[in-house]
Amino acid sequence: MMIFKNNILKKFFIYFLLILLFITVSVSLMIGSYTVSFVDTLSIVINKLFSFTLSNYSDTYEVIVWDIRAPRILMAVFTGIALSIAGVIYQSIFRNPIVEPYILGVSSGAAFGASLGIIYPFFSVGVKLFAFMFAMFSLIISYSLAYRRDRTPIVSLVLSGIIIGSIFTALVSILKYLSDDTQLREIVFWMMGGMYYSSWNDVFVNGVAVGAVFLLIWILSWKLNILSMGDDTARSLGVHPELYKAIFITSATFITAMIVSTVGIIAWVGLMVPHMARMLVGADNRYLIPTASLLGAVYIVICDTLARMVIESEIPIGIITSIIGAPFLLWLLRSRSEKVY
Amino acid sequence: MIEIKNLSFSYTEKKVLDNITLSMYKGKLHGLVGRNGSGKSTLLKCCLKFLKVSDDTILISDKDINNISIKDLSKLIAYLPQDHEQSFSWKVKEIVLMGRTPYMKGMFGLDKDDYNIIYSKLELLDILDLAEFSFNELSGGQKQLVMIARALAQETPIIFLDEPTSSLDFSNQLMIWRMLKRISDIGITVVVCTHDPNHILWYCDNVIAIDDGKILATGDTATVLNEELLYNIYKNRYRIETIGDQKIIYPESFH
Repeated sequence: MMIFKNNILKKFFIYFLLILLFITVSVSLMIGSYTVSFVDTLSIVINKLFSFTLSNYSDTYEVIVWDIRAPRILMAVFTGIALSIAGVIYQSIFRNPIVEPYILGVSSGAAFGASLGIIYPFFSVGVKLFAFMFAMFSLIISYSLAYRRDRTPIVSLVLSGIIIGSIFTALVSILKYLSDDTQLREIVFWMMGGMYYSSWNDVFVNGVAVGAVFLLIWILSWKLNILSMGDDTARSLGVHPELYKAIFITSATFITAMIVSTVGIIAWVGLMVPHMARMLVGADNRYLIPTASLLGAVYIVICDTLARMVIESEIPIGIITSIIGAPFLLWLLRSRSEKVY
Repeated sequence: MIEIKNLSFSYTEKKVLDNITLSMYKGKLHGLVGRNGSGKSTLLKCCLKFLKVSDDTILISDKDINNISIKDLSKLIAYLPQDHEQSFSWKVKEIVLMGRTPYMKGMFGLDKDDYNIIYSKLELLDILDLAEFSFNELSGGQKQLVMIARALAQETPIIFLDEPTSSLDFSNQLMIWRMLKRISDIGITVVVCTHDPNHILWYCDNVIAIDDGKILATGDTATVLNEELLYNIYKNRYRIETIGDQKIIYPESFH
């Protein structure tokens, strides 16, 4: 039975990725401007989690590993998972392999919200919350613009997403024009993305959101397979396309908005990782979703570690993901031009 | 099997379907014929509940389709749209497995029985050896057979196909029709939209001719499909000639 064997292999590969993620996170905790030994890192983590002292270590190490590195690395994990799942969902629903999670103007909406929060702090809602609100707002407008007679055709969704995206981009430009030098720097830095401001609180909030959405999407992954066959086929197979499209797009946009409002706009991950995962385990979302999630997490943790290690000061992670991601996609398209992934 | 009574439908003011009344019978192969824009696809879409119709206009096994949920309907009618290009690289068996969706239970809900069913359908269509192939690498004829296997996997008493042979070469067209005949012979009601009246003449038990949203004729192919009907459908003269024991339709004038 070939299938059985195949699916077993896919499962093993997913376990392998889980171990790889564990190793990547562990190494990333240890390395950086200060290298902390494996024993010390392990002691700190065990002490913090189970209040059990394995060996003595200096307080500075504890601050580095537990207060600085751990939250940003975990945030990187959730970012990778969220953007990859969102990428898989959007590509399946739009039946288009070159769609990314920002297609409905979510990133532009978030950028506008963040810029507004940076320039007018007296609203006191906070930059993150502002970014999240406008990201969701852009989804709602894009969706309602495309909605006609109980249907949301894909072409209309793409178009309304482009329209909303460009309006918010223009609004961001106005805000940039109105801002002073410090604010401008902050806006630009925010838009390039980075894990540096991540706190334990962010880790908790995003972890719960991403975890919940991951479970929901994984449970519904077969329905996503059906939706990628087109609305008519889905309906004739008893899957209500509008209902499930709304569930999938809202979930994907929700986690994208959460992540973008916490760590800024990180490009290419949501486009590239689903491609890579599809090459490894195929198009079946039951396997694709966990594979893409774990690959995305590993990729972002590695990029974030590079971001803080390559040069003395930190490079925004959005630059690294693009520099690695863009050539990779080019290679992918050239080497796979005959087959469509 | 399917009763349609006084069905009218319009997208805007103009009626696309105008007072349609007809029946489709169990285990018969039906050919739905008409010019482009005559309302063939709309008729299929109404029966599939893609479009909303008035109460008591379409009955499947004496039940009003407005009282059938889309999940239950998916256990009654399988549908093959015209276009089935895939953006992603699916395996043949994965595509066919999708036909089992209406019967899924629980989280991933597909069990050994589902696999056994899809293998038996692939075998019925003589394409079991393609199970592990990538769908996008198949030829047009093979792709169409895989889509038919998916429809069979749905285990419905009725199958609708929208121009299943339109992009196929001559021999593949006839191969698909032979398969459809084989399927109707096992008791499934098959309804096929087609643009080639010869196919209807050669393979279909029943013909449904439609023009401008109205039924021109419906019934047994041998009695209903004649030169007059062809003229009414296409507004051009065609001849039906018998060669050996087979009839063939050809245009009266080639100029």
